Amino acid sequence: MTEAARDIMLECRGVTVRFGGVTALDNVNFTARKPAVNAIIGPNGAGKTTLLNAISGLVNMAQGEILFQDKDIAGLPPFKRGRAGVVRTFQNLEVFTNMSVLENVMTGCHRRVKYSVLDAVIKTPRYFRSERRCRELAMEALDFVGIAHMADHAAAELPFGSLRLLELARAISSDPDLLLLDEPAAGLNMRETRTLGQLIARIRDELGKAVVLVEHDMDLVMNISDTIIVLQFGQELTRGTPQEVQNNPDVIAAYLGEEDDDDQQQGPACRQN
Amino acid sequence: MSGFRKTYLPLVLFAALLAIAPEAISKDYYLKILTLCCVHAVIVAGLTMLLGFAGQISLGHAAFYGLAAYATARVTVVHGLPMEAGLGIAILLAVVVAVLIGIPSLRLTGHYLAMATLGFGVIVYLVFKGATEFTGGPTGFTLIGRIPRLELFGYSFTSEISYYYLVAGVLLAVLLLCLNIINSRTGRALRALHTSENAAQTAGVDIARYKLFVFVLSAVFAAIAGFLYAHWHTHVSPSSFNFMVSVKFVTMVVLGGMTSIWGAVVGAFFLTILPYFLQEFEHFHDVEIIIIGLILIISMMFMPEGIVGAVDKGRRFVLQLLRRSKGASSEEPSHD
Repeated sequence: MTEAARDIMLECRGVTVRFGGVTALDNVNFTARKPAVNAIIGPNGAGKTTLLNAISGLVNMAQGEILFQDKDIAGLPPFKRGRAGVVRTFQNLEVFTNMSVLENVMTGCHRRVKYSVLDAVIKTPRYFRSERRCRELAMEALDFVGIAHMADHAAAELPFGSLRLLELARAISSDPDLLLLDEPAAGLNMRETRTLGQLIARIRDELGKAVVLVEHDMDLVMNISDTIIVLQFGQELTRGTPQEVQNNPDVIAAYLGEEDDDDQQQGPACRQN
Repeated sequence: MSGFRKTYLPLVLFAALLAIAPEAISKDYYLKILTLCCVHAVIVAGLTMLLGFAGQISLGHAAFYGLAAYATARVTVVHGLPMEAGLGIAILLAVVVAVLIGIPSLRLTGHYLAMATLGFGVIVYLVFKGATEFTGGPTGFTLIGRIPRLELFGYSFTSEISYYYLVAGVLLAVLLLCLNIINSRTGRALRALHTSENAAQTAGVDIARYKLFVFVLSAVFAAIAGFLYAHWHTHVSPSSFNFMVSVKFVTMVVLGGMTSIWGAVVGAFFLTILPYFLQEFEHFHDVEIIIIGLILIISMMFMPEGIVGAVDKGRRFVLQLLRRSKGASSEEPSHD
């Protein structure tokens, strides 16, 4: 599929984020299409997670527009963006540890099941119908990531790798139009990372989603991404296909470090595991 | 559906227990203690929803309790209105005050609600004590008049036993309401924002609205309890609604177990009955605050999930032991 044939889901224009005197993002433009994996890479501190936070509304922008399905969502609070279909996972897991695995994913369905508190209190047919549907959707999502057999476990008891999958299931279950993944492979071993890569590719191919992937694992990024944008010091360094980015001398310099030697140890070479 | 049975079977058993309890106890005195247990459990159920499920701390629930008690006292004694009006005004007052406190303090993350309710509780207590022409001052409402015994929709609850059944019925209704909310998208949203506000928001949960909802709900429960208390005790005084009482309610939540609505019942009954046992000791009243504090610390350290959590853990442990001894010869499912 050519670039132009894919629908644009998200367009960030001139996104600028400042923390006090530090400019974390400086006039960044970013486009995410569907169905595609749109990767954001860059050395530590480049502003990748900040860009995800700006898209999902967890940090305020100093300037810029965020067009989601052609509507500017920059002024909306995070929960409204979530309801609109901008859903994400977190680098430092944000699993609901006070619930079962199934309940976690059912919470992800929050925006898809609509009934009032009154429906729940007097147990209307609408309540039962919606809850059953919610349970089905949650089980589907758990099945998709392959941890359906753990549905009744307490989320707090799950091993790390399964928690990552749980977060992914929770995000998928909300049927997002834009799925933001913040370093989903962090802390995973090689086998788990490979499974994750296949899952992300299936989210694109089978579910037809627009995925935005922030990731340090270069094998993963180069294997499954359709387009890549490289950030450095809060600015765009370059963008293109995995091939183009890999061969770009600026990118190689940024990762291996020429004069700048602080906070840039994380290069393609040292993430082979 | 096994989940259905697991949710409502305890409620049915508890209802049966409440129904036969008066048969088992002889004196009216004990029945009074049991009635007070139920009144407290109504408040603590609301507080468990707020603190245990949504993770928001209120240190001023005694004030909602007291506001309702004084409101219905004034409405019925001074203005001579029927008690239904007293109940309505008590609830309305709780809703309005809770919204006024909740909107500014719940929009912020952090312990702003705890601070706001702490201040609110202290102020309300001072007003109860100081506004003598309105509240009777430190002596209590008897200075103005005796609060009438409850009479609702033509039925008067004059006997101790009828009042007990009424309050027990209200408690059961409150518990059913809480259970139904917990097992819904609202309950999941509350627990979600407790652990991660960010994750809850990205799932589309309007966290400010849900926090306000559960805070108002808990205030309404406290108001209902205050109404029932006023027309049962027929006398209210400021000391029943001071800061210590608010702390006691929080202790009930923590001791009983924050993660289950049954913790509210266990905590409220346990800490309401305990003082009556300890009354034998001469200086108990002076050290009550110390004992409450100790209970709070010890349960936080050794039973973070409260009595209900500890019992549940014990039950699972015994089950596992049984399974192990039974299946020693056959294959054993491995737990990692």
